[in-house]
Amino acid sequence: MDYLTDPLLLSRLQFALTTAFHITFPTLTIGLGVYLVCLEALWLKTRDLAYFRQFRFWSGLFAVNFAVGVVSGIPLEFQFGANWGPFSATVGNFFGQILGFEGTMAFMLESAFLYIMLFGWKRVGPRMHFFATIMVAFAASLSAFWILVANSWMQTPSGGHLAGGIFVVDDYLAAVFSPDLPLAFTHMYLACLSVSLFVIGAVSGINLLLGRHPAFFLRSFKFAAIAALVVTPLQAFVGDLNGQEIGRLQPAKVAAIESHWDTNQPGQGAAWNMVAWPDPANERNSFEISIPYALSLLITHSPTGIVPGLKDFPKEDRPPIVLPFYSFRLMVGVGGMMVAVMAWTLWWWRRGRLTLARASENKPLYLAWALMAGGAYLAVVMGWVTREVGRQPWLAYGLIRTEGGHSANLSAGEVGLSLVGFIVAYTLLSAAFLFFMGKLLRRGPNMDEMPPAGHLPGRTAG
Amino acid sequence: MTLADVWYWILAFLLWLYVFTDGFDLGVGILCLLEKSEARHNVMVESIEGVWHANQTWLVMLGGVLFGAFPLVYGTVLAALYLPAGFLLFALMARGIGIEYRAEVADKWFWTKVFGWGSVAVTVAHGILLGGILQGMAFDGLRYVGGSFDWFSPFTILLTATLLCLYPMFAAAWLVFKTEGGLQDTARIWGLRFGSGAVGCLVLLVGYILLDGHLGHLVGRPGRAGLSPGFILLLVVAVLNAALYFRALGKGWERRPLMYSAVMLLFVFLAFGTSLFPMIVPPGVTAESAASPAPMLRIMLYVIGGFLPVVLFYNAYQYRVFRGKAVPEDEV
Repeated sequence: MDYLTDPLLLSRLQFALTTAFHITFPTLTIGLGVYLVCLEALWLKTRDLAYFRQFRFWSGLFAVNFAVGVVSGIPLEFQFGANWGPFSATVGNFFGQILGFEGTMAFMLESAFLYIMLFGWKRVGPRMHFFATIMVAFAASLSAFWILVANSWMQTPSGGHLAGGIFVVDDYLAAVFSPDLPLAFTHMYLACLSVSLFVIGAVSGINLLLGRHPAFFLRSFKFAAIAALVVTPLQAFVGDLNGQEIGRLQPAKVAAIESHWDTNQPGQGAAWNMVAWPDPANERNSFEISIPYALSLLITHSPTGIVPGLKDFPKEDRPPIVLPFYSFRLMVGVGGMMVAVMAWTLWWWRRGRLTLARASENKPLYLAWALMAGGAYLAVVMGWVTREVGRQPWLAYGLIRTEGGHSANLSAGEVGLSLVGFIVAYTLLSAAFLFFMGKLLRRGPNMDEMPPAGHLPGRTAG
Repeated sequence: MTLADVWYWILAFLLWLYVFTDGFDLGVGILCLLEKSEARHNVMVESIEGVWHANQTWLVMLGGVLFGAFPLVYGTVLAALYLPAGFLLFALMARGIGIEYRAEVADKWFWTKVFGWGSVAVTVAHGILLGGILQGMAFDGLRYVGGSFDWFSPFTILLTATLLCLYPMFAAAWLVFKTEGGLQDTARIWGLRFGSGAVGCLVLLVGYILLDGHLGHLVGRPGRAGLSPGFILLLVVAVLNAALYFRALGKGWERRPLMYSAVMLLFVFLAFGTSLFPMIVPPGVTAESAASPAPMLRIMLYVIGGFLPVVLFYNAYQYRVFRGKAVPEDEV
């Protein structure tokens, strides 16, 4: 049990665990925030009370989700200083500044306007309330942008060089807009939208299945379905672009994700390992099922494109293989299933099954959506596992090694204690979150709720 | 004044803002433990419902600014104070979840306790972290050479006790401002008691610094006995504001106790802040030596310095939206 006495490994485990837990919450708030903006816009435009009640119901979910997102997110910022001190000291002048921007521009904005959005109906007029909702959604997305700026810089550190133990920025904009950023942000943003749409669709579907408030939930189900019809295939497309980009930017990562050992000879295609079990000691796979030419096609979009194998990289620069290999396949598999569920939804919709009269007949479809909501979360976490484990053995790719960035004064006992603390705290948090989420869902929307007087148009109020 | 100095004072300003604003809502949590009536708990929590979250966010901003402007401090101090920093995080979770989920249940007893004890724990963590830094840390250059429990000292215990009185003192002033009737009367009594406790602890703290002899850097006399005239002057102004606080409570004024307690804290901060300056981590690390390169500090000053007034403006707007006396069950 060597790994239990290695503070570095414990710190990595702790960061992985806390991030994986945390990421699931903002993922939903980002997409749900956009949905709330749409709902309020529709409410203001049509003055149809159905939209107001939609807003109230989904904003309740937003609030419970946001609460856990915040409390689980604060530890991340602090771990950089506490567990990754030398890394923070080296790159903080840029990296820390970006996190500072996130706090100042985005997080503060969200915190301030969230309570106006949730509790301010009586206190502000319709325009101001709508503005608050837009600010909440905008801030959530802006947060994602700055966090991805920081993370993409770790993947493709650019715009500066190391000198005298610190990262010196030469070209500020090049550091902010590192090569990995545009596609990584797009990919993650679409992931947030997908998760949210599948959660909205799943919650609506389960309620339709139980026959509760069919008119209300058919409306939200259709909204989620229309939006997901656009987002899901788009995500598959962006994911593919992202794969090619990573092939150019981080070839060792792609080699590890695919357990690809030998660079293909010119004129020959690299095979894609559908399933494999790597044997790093002997630099080969002890078992593999592969499709010829497929890897070259995937990464270079040419059947004989060159894809560097793991053997091209020094042993000490190779990432772990098993974890990224399988996490990547899980992510892609779920993505494929999502596209299939969308095709199914479209098919049944066109056959006229998504009407109030027949809403209760679509049980298998609703169950598929519920499954895909869980799958969407799984895909996000697996995507991040692929991205971050594939970044190893570097903290900042090619610039700072993971072991060099770890706080040397920490003992395994200290990190172990905090790790156990996080496991206990996050388990309790999850239990409380699920309990309250369940309560909220069982209670359902309040179908008699009326907006406060100032928010009603004259004719309805009179 | 160099850019590093500017950031030292921005950091001090953010710390003051955080300690005061989150201080009063943490204090509300602590006072909930002293109050039995659930109806009163509801009003007390309602009074901070719309703002506590934004108050806490100053800590996130503080972390970000420290990380960006003084990365060498961020990367060493948090690692050196690993256990108390971790404790702060768990305490913040308990407090946050306590207050959020309290609103969702019918039987509020349990979550009120989580909120209350979470608030106590956050306050204790503040005391240990601040004390651990202020009393001086064993650095060899920028490498921490002390132990994991160096923060444990009579000084940190005294500082923690001070905060445990100070936060409820702010909270009492806040409740006088935000509530009425019997609860407001009780809040005045809390204000008198915890205010006296806070002033008493502060005097003990300065007394201890004088006796100890190693803490001269906190009072403008590094390595020497006594207090610097500047420190004495600022501390006297702080105590004067405490006196005004008591007078305002006695007169039944509603806004001024809160105002005076904020100004009192400001002068306490100025007294210690000017004494420490330009040290950022005593005894040896100056702001200049731990700061980011000047061009980066300049960019950060343009961006965060430009945004800070906007942030303060919409925070003020938020307080305006949630102005007036707190009443329970103020839904929609």
